[in-house]
Amino acid sequence: MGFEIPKQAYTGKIREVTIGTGPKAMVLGGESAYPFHTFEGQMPNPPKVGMEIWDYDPSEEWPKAVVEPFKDVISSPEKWAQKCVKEYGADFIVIQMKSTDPNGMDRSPEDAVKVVKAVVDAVDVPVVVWGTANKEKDDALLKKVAEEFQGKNLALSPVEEGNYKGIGAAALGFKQVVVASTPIDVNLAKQLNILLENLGVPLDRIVIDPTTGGLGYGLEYSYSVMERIKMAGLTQEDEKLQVPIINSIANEIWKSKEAGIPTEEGPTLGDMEKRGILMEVSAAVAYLLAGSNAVVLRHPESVRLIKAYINLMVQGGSAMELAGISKSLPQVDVDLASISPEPNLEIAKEEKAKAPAKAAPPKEEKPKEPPKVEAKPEPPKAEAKVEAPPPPKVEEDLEAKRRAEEEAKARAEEEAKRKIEAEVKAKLEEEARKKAEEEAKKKAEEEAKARAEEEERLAKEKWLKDIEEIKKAREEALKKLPKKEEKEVVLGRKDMDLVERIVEGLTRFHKHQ
Amino acid sequence: MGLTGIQIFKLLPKTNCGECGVPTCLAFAMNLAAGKAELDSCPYVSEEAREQLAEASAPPIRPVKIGAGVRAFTVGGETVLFRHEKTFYNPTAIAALISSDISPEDLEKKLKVFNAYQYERVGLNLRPELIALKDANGDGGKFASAAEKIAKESEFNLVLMSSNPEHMKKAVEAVAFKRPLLYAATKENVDQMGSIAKEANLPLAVKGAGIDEVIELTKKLTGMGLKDLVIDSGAREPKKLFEDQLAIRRAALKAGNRDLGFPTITFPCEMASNLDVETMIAAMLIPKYAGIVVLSDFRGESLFPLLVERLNIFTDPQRPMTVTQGIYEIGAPGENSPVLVTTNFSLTYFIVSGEIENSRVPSWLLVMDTEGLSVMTAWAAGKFTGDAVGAFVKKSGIADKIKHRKVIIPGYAAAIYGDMEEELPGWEIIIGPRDASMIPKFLKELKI
Repeated sequence: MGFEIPKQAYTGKIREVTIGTGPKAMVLGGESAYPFHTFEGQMPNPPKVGMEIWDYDPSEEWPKAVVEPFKDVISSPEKWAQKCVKEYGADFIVIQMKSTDPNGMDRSPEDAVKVVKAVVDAVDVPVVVWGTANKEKDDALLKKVAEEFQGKNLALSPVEEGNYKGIGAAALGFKQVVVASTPIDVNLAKQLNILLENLGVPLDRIVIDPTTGGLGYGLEYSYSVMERIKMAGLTQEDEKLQVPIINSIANEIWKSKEAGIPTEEGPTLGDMEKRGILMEVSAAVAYLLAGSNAVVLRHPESVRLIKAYINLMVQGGSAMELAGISKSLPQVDVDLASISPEPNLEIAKEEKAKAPAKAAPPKEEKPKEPPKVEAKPEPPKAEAKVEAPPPPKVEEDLEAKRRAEEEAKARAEEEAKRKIEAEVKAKLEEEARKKAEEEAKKKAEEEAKARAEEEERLAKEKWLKDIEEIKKAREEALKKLPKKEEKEVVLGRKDMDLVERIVEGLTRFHKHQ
Repeated sequence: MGLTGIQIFKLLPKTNCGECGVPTCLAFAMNLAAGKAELDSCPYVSEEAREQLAEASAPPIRPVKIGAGVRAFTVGGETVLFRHEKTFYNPTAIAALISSDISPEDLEKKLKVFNAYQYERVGLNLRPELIALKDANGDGGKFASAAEKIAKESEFNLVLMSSNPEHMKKAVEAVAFKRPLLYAATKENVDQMGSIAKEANLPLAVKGAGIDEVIELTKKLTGMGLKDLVIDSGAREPKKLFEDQLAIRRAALKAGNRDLGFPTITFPCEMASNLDVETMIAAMLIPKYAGIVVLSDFRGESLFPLLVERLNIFTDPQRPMTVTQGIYEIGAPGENSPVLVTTNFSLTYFIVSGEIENSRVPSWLLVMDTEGLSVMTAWAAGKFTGDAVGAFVKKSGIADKIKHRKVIIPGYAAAIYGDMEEELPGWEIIIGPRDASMIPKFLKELKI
């Protein structure tokens, strides 16, 4: 009797959404299992790999690694798009309408449409027109695009709660697909789909953009939100979430600081060119595993590797034949040995005794927090480093002395820093206490109760505090009429249009700069 | 596993003595079942009951401690399939392969270079933790001496890779103090490898040709009394390995399969012909349940993305990532440089500091501890008030570093302006932009 993998039961299936026309039109979605779980369900349309181009020459702003492959075409969006399709096999093209940003070049919709036209005419693959996440501008731009390219079945992105009506109606009238964009939240994603559906846009013309965080810049939030969206659609019969997902990865990766640091300036970060590509590749792999149906990449080598990866995950087989990244920029050699810190070779027994002792007090101070995470990565390691006495094994006294001094200094600094922190904290705590006492005297019970409620609320919404903002926005939107009081309990301090501000605050995820 | 409160209650003394901290044994049993209490809190539980309960409450995937010193780590101990269901606890350890036929000089150089790969991020030191030493050439002496050098002269911990029990024994004698992982017990050598691991009390990996064989091996070894095991299912193709990883995790968590309740070790280095493709495969294995990934080498362009991905995936989704409170210098600021205040939610910090960098205006960034709340949330929650921010600015020591008395607050917290002015007499409070993307423009136009 052989081992059998415990199977997951699925009750739903992701809808198929077609973008583009003709033989190169693409179908996203259609899967009836978690990503690449082909041993227990179907994945009829493997994820697609698109490439992004910008509507103006970005060579001044981009890291060298991504300018190099396109330097002959980068000033011509249509030639650039053609190169992506013909040479690199892009399944689709995303044209980033960066020039329309009102905070930047502020190109008019009329002029912008001309660029889109050149690109759409130049390629036979589907095109996604991606705005700047400025609600008003996108509204004007994407409506115009919808009208201009009637019958082309383009995808319009991003369509947000603030502008879904206009763009949604245009997409409906002129038969385009919409990319419904919400800030990292399952319920907001669902709600926008419902709103679009109410407007008349059928679910099979909607693709979700859950907000894509960069590697090290929010990937974890997008990753889990996507897993939850797929879970809701596939196992919880939430049909409003049975919609494919697109992730604009390139934009987030290549604007990050680390993608552009020259090897000489960040020797431990390794080869600049390969690093950016591997950041893009690693993020794309994570997004594909979380449920992406379409990833948007920038570097041709990322595209080649990710296409190969998808193929390996669908067809199976060995990766031994798959070539590594071929570099087009010169190799820079750095001497890492010379900047390598002295190893800390302590295997102190006392460290073990110490660590729990250190971990324990905070546990008592803040009983609500699970000490595990806090204790795990931070204190013991840092402690070990800073407090390690000069290893007696080192013979040279000088070296030992120098290190001792350094360590003492570090310790002193650490100490001073901690002291400041402690003082600030103490003061804050004292003030808080005083305030609380006064208040308690005045309206003891009422106040305490309200506070407890508020605290409980906050505790409940621990999962990404930023999401808290979003949740409130959601609540407000959902219960615009009935629940005025609750809003006031939590947010009684302000009387501005919260939704506007929250959503605006979160658009930074979309924005290039 | 997974006894109910009632089942546990039956095993307790039922005296309701209250010494465990809750008034009744039933309540205590309920807490145990919910994982909110520990059995040790009950002073009167019988040995017999203790054994039964320990067995039943043992984690479905055994946490295995590997290594000693500053890079010691634990793998396994996971309790969920999806990180949002709770969290992933023990980050995938990252290893590089070294062959034992390397010359001592080259090894020394390599250890130095490898030690340079450390990255500071959100107050954490990101670095790989392991070297997998592969027994080459059939020279057991060299294997042991290379192991000894790595163990004694570097922070790295070890996977000792040899199919030869004699060689393994020798190496274990030299480096047992660093608690290496032994790789691997196979069908052919399971008895010998098992007894070496048992004698030295070291973790042991099993390598089977498929999951069925893995189960045979772990059964046999647990029968011998070994507890700290690690699994290699033998798969060397991405799709197959992905499925095995899922199968092992699901079997342990969903089907209570004790034979598979161990962390896994994976070998991208044997799955691809170059480090780039290995990196891509490792990027899959980190979120998909590998306890250890072994690469053919460490290089910055490969390690950095993987360590950051690992940081992201193993962040507790129930707790926001924070940065340490304090003064951050961006671009070597001087006494006339602007001072900005923000909160310690890591994304807030990353975005604000990134935009300040973009502005190329050297600045001081004061990061205030708001328990990981972003600016607007912290303000709404009363943790970013004028008094608090003012007090923080005062105590931070920034005044000693600058000549001017001007501080920029986030546009979203403009409402704290008045209270801050009161708290900071003699200071000018400047309201900055709401959106971080406007910071470069703002700083360039700012006159201090």
